[in-house]
Amino acid sequence: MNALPRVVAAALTFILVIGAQPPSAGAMQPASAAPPGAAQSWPLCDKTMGERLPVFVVHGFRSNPDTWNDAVATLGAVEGTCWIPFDYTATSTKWVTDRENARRLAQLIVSFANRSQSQGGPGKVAVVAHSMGGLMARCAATKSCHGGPDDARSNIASVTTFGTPNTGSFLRAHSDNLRLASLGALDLLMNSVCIGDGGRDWCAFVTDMRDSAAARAFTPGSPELNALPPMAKNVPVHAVAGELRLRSTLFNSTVDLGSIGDTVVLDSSALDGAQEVGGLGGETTIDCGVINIVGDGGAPKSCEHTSQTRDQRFLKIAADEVRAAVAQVSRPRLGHDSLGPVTIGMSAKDMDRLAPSLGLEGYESNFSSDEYAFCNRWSNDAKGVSVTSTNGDPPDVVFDIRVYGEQDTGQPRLPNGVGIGSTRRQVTTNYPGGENYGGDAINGYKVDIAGPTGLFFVFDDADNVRILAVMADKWLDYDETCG
Amino acid sequence: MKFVIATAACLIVLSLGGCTSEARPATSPTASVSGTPSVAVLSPAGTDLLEQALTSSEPDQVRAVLAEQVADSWYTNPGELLPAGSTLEIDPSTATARGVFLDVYATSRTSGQAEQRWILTLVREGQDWKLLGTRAAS
Repeated sequence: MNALPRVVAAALTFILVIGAQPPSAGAMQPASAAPPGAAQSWPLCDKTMGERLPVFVVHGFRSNPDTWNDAVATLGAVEGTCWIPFDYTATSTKWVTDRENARRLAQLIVSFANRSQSQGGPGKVAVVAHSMGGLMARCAATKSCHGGPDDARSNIASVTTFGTPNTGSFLRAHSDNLRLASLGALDLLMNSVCIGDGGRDWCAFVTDMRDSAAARAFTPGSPELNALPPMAKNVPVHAVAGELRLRSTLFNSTVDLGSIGDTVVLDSSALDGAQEVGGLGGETTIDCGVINIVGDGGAPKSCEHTSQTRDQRFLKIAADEVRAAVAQVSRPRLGHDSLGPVTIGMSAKDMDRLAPSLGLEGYESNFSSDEYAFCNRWSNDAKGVSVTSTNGDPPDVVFDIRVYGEQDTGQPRLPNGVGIGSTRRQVTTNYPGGENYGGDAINGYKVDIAGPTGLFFVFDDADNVRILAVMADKWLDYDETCG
Repeated sequence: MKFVIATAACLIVLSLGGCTSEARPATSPTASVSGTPSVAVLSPAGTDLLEQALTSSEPDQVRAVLAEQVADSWYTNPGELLPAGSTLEIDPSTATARGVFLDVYATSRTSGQAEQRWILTLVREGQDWKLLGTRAAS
């Protein structure tokens, strides 16, 4: 090849690579072409997804998005969500760092988060992942893992994992010191049930996971697993594990042979990735029951690894986690007491527009227009929020104060020196640092406001705090248009 | 790993005189369960050993004929397998290979009670068949 074609080829390659941009803002289709008819009943994230939280469902090793078909009724019903079935069927037997796997997931997460932001949504996504899908999410959250340009860690509101082999699968534990007694029992169980068609799918999957070269990365301590970074610290992960116990019957005695996890992943491995952040995340073990290795005559039916995306106990946990994520990241709305709790909190841009009709004075934003707070600088070392009435002197207005916020560091920590007060009746209360900060610390705090300057907050030494909402259970009657 | 996962090849060897622990079969269970169940060999000596040990009141004797997957678990809290004074009669002519297992019918008799039929599931350990589990025969 002479030099010119080489240059042309290089240029074409460059163009192709550069051309692999994230989907355009309008490309709100499923992450890739799912089989016709598959997952079509999801409330998909489309051009009008608006303020809904985009949620990715990510299948696992040797699987495809159809595995989630029976999850639609439970997950798709979570209010305030739209869904993206991430499809990497063609590369689902390759490791998460494959270009079409975590890198593309990260690309799509960032893309959908940006679209969410532009449509007034939370600017974040949630992820519900099965098995290796959880490792995909782990990798997608860290640029150095997937090697792509997209840093998705700040765009993920929560991750729920089902049976994710964070420390590998015990089926791959080949060295003597890693093998478990229960693995021998599982071998026997497989020999007991993997006859005929009794447990064909389960048997095929477990066999493939154990014996195929494609699954070698799931070996505990494998180079692939060792190189996989833990989930970014600011991302909450609710890890769900299944635990099946084996037993045998010896005439009149029953012998417990121990746990085999979900038959592919032990609960210790599945739960290893759990982390709580800001009230989200956690860990749950689902009791999959007991199976007799010689007597039951069939593959495990309940919440074993390959059935978790259909198991209502797993799905309910995921739905609850997504619901909590929706509640936490939803942009606060203006309201009216006749419509329920009033929420005051908006972007500075919205505040500029609405402050006059709200009768809010003394408002001076020092946040950029895409942040949801309105803060005044009260002194050199304190910031605060004021809400001021201009239509007289309303008596006995009671605010149920709910402050939702976060620090830019992502750490769920209440900053030092939070004070709440009014200009006429001082009700300042200090909240020490180190408490949970996601609303709980001062939720429900009641303060009587008796003056035209209704309420203020002061955040000493809290430059990194963003106030997302201040809610009151009653507001004045000057907001007839904001409900 | 000491667990013996026999294969069809192993079963062939068994029919010719037994599998040795050194000749450990491959670990693919699907490879071992193909084919239809076939009659397998349970020696008279092995039958006698099982009948005596499984009705013994000595936990160590019982443990010696239990498959290793169940032996330790049972031994930590050795419950009575059959009522004291029971006898067990294994019918080796009913022995049938099922994958790596050998299923064989047996009858237990206890004074004052009706006899009971069982299916014993055995697995090969070295030269011996060990008891992995039982279920009542319908």
